Amino acid sequence: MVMDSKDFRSKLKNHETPYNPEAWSQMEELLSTLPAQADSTSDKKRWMRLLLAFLALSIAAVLFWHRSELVYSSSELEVNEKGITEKVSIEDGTFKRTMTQADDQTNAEINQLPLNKSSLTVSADPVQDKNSTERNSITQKSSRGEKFVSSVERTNGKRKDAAKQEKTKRLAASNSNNPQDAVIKNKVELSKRSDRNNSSKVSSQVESTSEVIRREGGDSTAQQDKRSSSSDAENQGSALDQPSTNQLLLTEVIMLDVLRREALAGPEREEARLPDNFKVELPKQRRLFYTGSLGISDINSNRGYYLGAGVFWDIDKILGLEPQLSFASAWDINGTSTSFLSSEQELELATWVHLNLWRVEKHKVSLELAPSLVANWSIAKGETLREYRGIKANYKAALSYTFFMPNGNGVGLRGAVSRFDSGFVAVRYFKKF
Amino acid sequence: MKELQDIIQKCIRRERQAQQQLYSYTYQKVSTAVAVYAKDNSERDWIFNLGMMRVFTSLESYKPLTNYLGWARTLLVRAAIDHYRSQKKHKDNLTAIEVQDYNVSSKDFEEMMSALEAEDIIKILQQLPEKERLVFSMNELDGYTHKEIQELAGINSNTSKWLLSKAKKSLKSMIENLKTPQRNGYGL
Repeated sequence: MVMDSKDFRSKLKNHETPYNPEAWSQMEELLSTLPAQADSTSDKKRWMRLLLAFLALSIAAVLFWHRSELVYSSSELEVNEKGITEKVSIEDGTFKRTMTQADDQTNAEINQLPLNKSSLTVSADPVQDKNSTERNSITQKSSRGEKFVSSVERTNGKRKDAAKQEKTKRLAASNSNNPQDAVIKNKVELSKRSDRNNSSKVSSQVESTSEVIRREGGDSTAQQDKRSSSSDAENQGSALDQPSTNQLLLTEVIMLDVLRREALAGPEREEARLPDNFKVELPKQRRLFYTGSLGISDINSNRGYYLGAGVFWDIDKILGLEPQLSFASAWDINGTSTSFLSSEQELELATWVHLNLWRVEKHKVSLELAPSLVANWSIAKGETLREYRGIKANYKAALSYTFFMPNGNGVGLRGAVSRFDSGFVAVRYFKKF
Repeated sequence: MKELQDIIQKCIRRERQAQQQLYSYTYQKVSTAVAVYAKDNSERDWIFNLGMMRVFTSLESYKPLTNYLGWARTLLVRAAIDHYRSQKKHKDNLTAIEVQDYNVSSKDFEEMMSALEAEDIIKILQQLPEKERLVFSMNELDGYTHKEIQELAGINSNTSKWLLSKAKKSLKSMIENLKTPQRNGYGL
């Protein structure tokens, strides 16, 4: 007959002994012989602090690098933009505004207005970054536009008072071919549009004023224009002290154009700043990989194997995302843990966030953080104890290196530690989707 | 589980009430594992207390959320083995009982085993000679190999195999004798 030791184990497995107070009194005597506890910071806390410091530094490095990339993009943009110049000039009685890009030698004539000859030429750089645009506009306002702006404001203030006079003049002008009357007519049209928003108002002013110039047709009507302007001196004339009407009108056109650009908001402004053919191309790498991991695990100082499988989304140069399911099993070879705590298992669902510390075409070094759910249990060798410790939230941090091969697949190495004293070092393989 | 972790943290700070709570919990759950190494309940308590001293002084190395009872049991069993080794220096009165063949059928043995309670089995084990009890408990109940028994208890692996065989035969005879108490008289 063979005696089966399982009979003994099964009998003793869940047996509980009632608490013995006498035994505790003996225990108290023994405990009283213990020396006072040394007040020292545990190694674990020290390691945690080091880990936190490392994580903070790494995140700061990633953010710094990310910021540097943005600055680089901006400066690149600026270089391109600086190749574009705008030129406003008067040639052969025509007002010209020309956009020029240095690289392709392309000139685009945007506005052409017939004007009398003038020596006034304004060259501006409208496509600058926001700050310089603001500086530019402020400078122009303070040097030339201030008077005009104030005159416009005065015009708005006095428009109601002048409404009756203008109405009378419009009636007269409609029955006349006199250029002076035409000027008056346009001014009335201008006042009719005054209820519109700023951008359209200023834009209309440019157009209507240009129309006035076109109708006047040259120097011969300068005196008439001067006379007609005297009726709405608050509008423009009194604000501009130039003796020449052409110069006065040209200045007005320029100022209005500046104001129009300032008045434009949002996408319109962007359109005004950037030419149609101007494109900023940002690199986009969106790739998916299957990932597999095989390595050595350490669970509570017991060593074993580690298996993992997941999907890696290489979002961009900075970030990656990797949901992963992993299993680790470890058995006792450490000093204190012995045979009945023979193995520990861990099943974990983690979402790894890759923060790339270094990322070039073929190489990737990243700090990886993962909130996860982990189920951990141990199996006693003699089946005297088997404890399932349930599902718990866990946090993991890892450092990994990946090499991407010419065919797009990759191999790498990852070392990780978790909040609950487990860790692994694994070789990884990335298979392109 | 969280409550246990809190108690352990308090024990690390040497809070006596928490120590008593942990002692009580461990005593109820694990003292059986010590009992099979002891010759009686008095020795069991003594070994258990020695083991608990190790537990209390090693709590800082205990990994939170791991199997506390398993960890504590390891230390307690080690304490029992060390206790055996310390006793061995003073006495080595190996007196193996004479094994007799009672020709009892396996059916009888199974019937007796099913009828026995855990405390009965502990008492039977405590009747074994010290070395046989040690080898049997280490190998059959706690899963140590003969090589490990040699390393931990200092008993040659061949000797431990022989002692294990003897212990099994002794136990068999003891249990079978329970059916015929007039022949042995364990009085269980």
